[in-house]
Order: sequence, then C-alpha cells, then structure tokens
Amino acid sequence: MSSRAGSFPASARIIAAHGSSAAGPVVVPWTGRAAGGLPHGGSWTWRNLPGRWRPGRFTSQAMGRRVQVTIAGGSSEAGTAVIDERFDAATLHLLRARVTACAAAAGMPADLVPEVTLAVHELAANAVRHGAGEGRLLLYAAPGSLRCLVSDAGQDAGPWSVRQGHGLWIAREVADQVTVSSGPHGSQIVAVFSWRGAANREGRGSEAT
Amino acid sequence: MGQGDIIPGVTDLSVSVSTEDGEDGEDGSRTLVRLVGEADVTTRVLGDMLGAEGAKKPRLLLLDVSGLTFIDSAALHEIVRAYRKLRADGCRLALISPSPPVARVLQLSALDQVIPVHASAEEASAQ
Repeated sequence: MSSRAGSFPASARIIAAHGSSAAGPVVVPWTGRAAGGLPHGGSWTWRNLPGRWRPGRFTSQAMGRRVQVTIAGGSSEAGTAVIDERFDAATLHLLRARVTACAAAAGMPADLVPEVTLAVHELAANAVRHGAGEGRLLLYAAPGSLRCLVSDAGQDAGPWSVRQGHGLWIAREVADQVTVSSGPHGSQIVAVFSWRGAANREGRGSEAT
Repeated sequence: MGQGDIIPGVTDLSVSVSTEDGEDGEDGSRTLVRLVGEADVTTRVLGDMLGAEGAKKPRLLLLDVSGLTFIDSAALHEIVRAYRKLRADGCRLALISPSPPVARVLQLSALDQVIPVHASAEEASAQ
C-alpha cells in the first residue's frame, strides 16, 4: 500500500473536553498528524461524556466469523479509535464484520448493530464506487455513541462525486448526524450514531426509536 | 450492464434457480431463485443472474431472500432494476420471506412500498 496522505490523521489526541453528558452533546477540540506528516486539527461533537473506554484486544463473533478486535490508543473522555483501516472492494465484507464486532463491544443495543453496520458499509461502498476505489474508515467509540469517519484514500482521486443514492440516504436515516465535506484531496463523511440508556437497553423495543 | 457499476469482490453469495413450466394452457413459467449469504456492491453474480432470468420473461420471478444475512443498497438496486424490467414486459417479481436484515433495508429505503413482499412462494403465486 502506498503511503498516501489521508485527509484526516492517523492518530488524534483529544486536547480538551468541556461539559458533561447530562448537558447533551459536547464539542471536543483535537489535534493529530496525517500519514503525510501534516498536522491536522478540528473539533468533534460528542454525546454522553464523560465515560470510560479501555484499550486492549479481544475476540468477538461477527457474522459467523471469529474476529480479533484491537482497541488502539489510550482511553479518553471523548472516545477511543477502535477501527483505523483502509478498505477496497475486496475487503468491504471484512470491514462490515469489524464494525459489527466493535459496535457490539461498545455497548450498542443489539437491534441497532445491523443497521449501523449497513450505514457504515454504505459510506465505505460509496468511497469504493465513486472515489479512488479504496478508502479509509476511522471509528471512534465513546459511551453511548460511535463516530465514523470515511474518507477517500487517494489524494489523486479528487473530490468525491458523493451521490445522493439510496446508500447515503440510508446512512442519513440511521445516523443522528451526517456531515459531508470536500477538499482538494478528496472528501470525507462523518456520521454519528448514538443510543441512550446503554445500561437499561433491554427496555428498547424495535419500534421505540 | 453499466460500466464500472459493479466491482469484483469476494462476498459469498450462493444462487440457486429452479423453473417450473406454466400450468396447462398457460403461457410463461414460474422461476424461484434462492439467495443465501451476503449481497453487496461487489456481488456481480446477482445482477448477472437477474439479467439472465429476466430475459427469459417468466410470468413470475420469485426471489427467496430468507437466507440473506446482508444486503446493501447497490444489491437492492439490482433487484429494483430487474423488477422494473419485468414489469415493463408484463411479468412480475416478488420477494419471499425477507430475513430481518433484508426487511430492515427494505423499510429504510422504502422499497417495501414498491416491490411486492410475500411470506411464501405459495402466497405470492396465489396473487
């Protein structure tokens, strides 16, 4: 794999977190460094802060496969990178299995996991079909939410022609928030999936969305 | 087939097709296709099969999707395309017994309002 600079960093460090989960979404500034060495910065909106997320490794069963999941980096109040992976057409199905495993491990209610997996897949498939044929997924877990960043991996691909097909529409239906941004090195989609009351999620019926 | 629309991949999908001749004096036939596994943007076999079976203009093309563990919008689009083509030819396409993941995608995309969905092949044939 060539060492192309992504449009978001390989690792990000949360530099401050304000507010608390009870007050609703929290804006968290961050800094990081892209694969090409360029520093990045920005802010993310998180819900349900603060919380605990421990780094480590575990195995999980996903779609009939045994999946090794690595929780990279240290925990922070704003969430931990649980997936940082490049993908193409040949690895989309593996990416789905990883998203399913990580969503379940993050405490997402079981009835939400398939549709969140679908939504992330649709964003990744969009990058494969309409971008450079490959892309990169970053998935951050925080208590009560997952944040997904999908970017085109190729800086020579130009901005995506993000199509308003059913794929993006499904992602917008499932996610609480979907943001599409384009730059000279491709485009990036950020999607946030959150759930409430992870502790008493048994009470969530399939209709009670 | 649209150029570059479908990308070769490694998703597992098995397709089995069975065809019944039309009943006495009736023209056309009934084709039952059973899909098992995962169908996504990389699953070329789905579009190929639907194109080939649709070209035979069966009176009724039934897609048993009870064994599908995953379907994405691109694979669903192939089914919608086949549905439209068949309808234009005066034929029917229906989905049989969607698994929960398939039912959810149909609901999210509102395509359950477009494509007929039945609990069994017998129920679909009786329509």
